[in-house]
Amino acid sequence: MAYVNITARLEQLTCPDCANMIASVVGRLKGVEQAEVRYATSKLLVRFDESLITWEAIDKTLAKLGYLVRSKVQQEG
Amino acid sequence: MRPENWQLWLRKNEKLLIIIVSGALIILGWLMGYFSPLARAILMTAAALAAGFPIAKTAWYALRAEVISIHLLVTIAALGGILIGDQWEAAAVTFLFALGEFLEARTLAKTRDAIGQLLDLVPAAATVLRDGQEIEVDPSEVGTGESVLVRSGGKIPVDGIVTKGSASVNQAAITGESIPVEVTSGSQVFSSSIVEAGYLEIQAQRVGEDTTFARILHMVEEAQERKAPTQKFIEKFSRWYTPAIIALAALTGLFTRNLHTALTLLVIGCPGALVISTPISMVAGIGNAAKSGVLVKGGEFLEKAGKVTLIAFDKTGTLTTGKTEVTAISALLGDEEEVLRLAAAVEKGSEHHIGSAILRRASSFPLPAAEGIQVFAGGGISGQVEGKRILVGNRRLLEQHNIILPPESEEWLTAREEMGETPVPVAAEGKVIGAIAIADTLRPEARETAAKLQQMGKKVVMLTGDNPRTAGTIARQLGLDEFQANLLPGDKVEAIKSYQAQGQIVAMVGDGINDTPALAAADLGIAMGAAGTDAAIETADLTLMSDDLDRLIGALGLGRATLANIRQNVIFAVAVVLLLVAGVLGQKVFLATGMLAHEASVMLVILNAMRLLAWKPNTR
Repeated sequence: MAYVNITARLEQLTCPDCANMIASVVGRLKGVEQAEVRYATSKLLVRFDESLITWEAIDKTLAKLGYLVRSKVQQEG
Repeated sequence: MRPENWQLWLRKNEKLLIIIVSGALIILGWLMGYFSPLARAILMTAAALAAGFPIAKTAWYALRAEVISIHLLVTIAALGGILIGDQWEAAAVTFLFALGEFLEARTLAKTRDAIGQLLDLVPAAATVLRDGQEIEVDPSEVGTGESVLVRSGGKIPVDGIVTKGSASVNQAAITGESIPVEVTSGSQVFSSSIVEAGYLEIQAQRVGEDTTFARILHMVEEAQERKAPTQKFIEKFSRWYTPAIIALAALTGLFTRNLHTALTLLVIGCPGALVISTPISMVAGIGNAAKSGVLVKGGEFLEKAGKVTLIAFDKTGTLTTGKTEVTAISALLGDEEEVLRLAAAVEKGSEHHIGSAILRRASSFPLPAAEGIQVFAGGGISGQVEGKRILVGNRRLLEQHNIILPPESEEWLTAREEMGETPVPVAAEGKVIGAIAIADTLRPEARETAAKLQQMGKKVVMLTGDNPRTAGTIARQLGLDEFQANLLPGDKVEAIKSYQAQGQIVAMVGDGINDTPALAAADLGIAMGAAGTDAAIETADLTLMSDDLDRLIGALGLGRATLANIRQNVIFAVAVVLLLVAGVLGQKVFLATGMLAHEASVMLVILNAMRLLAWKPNTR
């Protein structure tokens, strides 16, 4: 399996609850193994299986929730 | 603009556009209201739909993941408002929510920007020397051991040792100190420092994510995420509060049939100002600290820094510069040179600051080999040199070895101790042959720092392994409240515990290298001058990157300011929650006013936290 870790800087999160909400929604996507959203830095840390889901799909979900991704960094493994 | 650029522009500014459209519809609605109530209702509904659609969308996707978000509560309130015929309130609720979010995001960006400003300091490229050629590469692709070139105005892209050239370097990124330091061959330099003038060739030791600066960035981010106890408590409260308000709204709707009040309760169901009160102040406080070269491990330590009542200093390296020097040698048997030579031979392997002073003084002599070296923690060192058992250590160590200190030596030691120096007797084959006096320079700002701490109402004490007379002299010179001498590392832990038992909140300041247990035992462990020493950064709760005691005053002051800021925010936010609940139940607050109060209070909390970004110690 090809796992990918991506750290994405989101638009400013205004409330800590929104961070939890985004983490829950992304965490439930099929293929996503782990999703963590950090309020203080407005960052999403996500680990997913590339054979099951693409970053584009996660990005789309974030857009549906109303949050744009401003930048991202990818680490393999 | 090309169509795809338009799309991008629309996407980026969607939120602002929606606010403008919705706001315009509301104004139009009010104007038309004079002529036709129906037109007003339609325009207001349109405004509510425009501003409410993205909110409802978020609510829907969250709900599908079984998350009840504030967006859902706002959506229900707005839909309810339209259904009970109060379109203006529905429009106001959604418009204010969207506007609030927009303004808060912009303000928060500024509050969180300390990290962003640090990120700007990350070097973008490195010039390395490969096969005699200068090549420009990404800083993370430099290999350790490679030669990196930096010219005037350039940023140092790696941590390393200067091998050639000299320059004045601004290390503000690491130490927060913007006065440049002079570096030359053999100096340690850090990534993200700026070469203001000069030219350097640097042998890379750590690159990319391993550099001190990268680790600082990482630590600051981790620290900002770490939840302080106050925050955990508030989160518990809001986890209970939100469902309670929703239940109250449902009950109100069911039993009193007062839908208006029930919907308003939903709007105030998320105690927004309260949940952000602590984290936002922490982010601002930690960000401010990072910019001035103070690393805080987490919000709770900033809170603690604000509460500290007693500061305990380890003497060497904190109150003193740690640059020890041999000032005098006395010989009872043989000559002074012989005393120094034998002492230096056993100290050869020692990392203790006394040993290094002796070695520096003896650097011009060829040293005989020493065997069977034994280190006595808090006592000294012994070894076999030229067939003789040599012992270098303090009075306690001599006693333990049944070595008697002759009166003339005792006199010499006392005189040196009263001058604030640390004399160390040297014995050979069980007889004292002489002694070496070592002095450490007090930091120029130490006395002033102690005085300032006392003015802040804090007790200042010194915990040292040195002898009582030397310690007493230094304590008097610095005007300390108290000192404890002759302490072994374990005794320092006990000393801290006994202060804590007296009800003091203790900060321990050390150089972070040999006082790890004491740093851990204190309520707040502070390491000083730690740029480049990883162990210290790991152990301490708070790290002063520069070698300047003044930063300590700043850090404690910032802690106090942060604590006060959080208190103001929490008190204000609790008052808002109580007033809103009372206002809604007392039929004084309705949808629009409820939302206005909610968003305005969140905004005020953020603005208050922002004051911490500009906080400066007024002592400087």
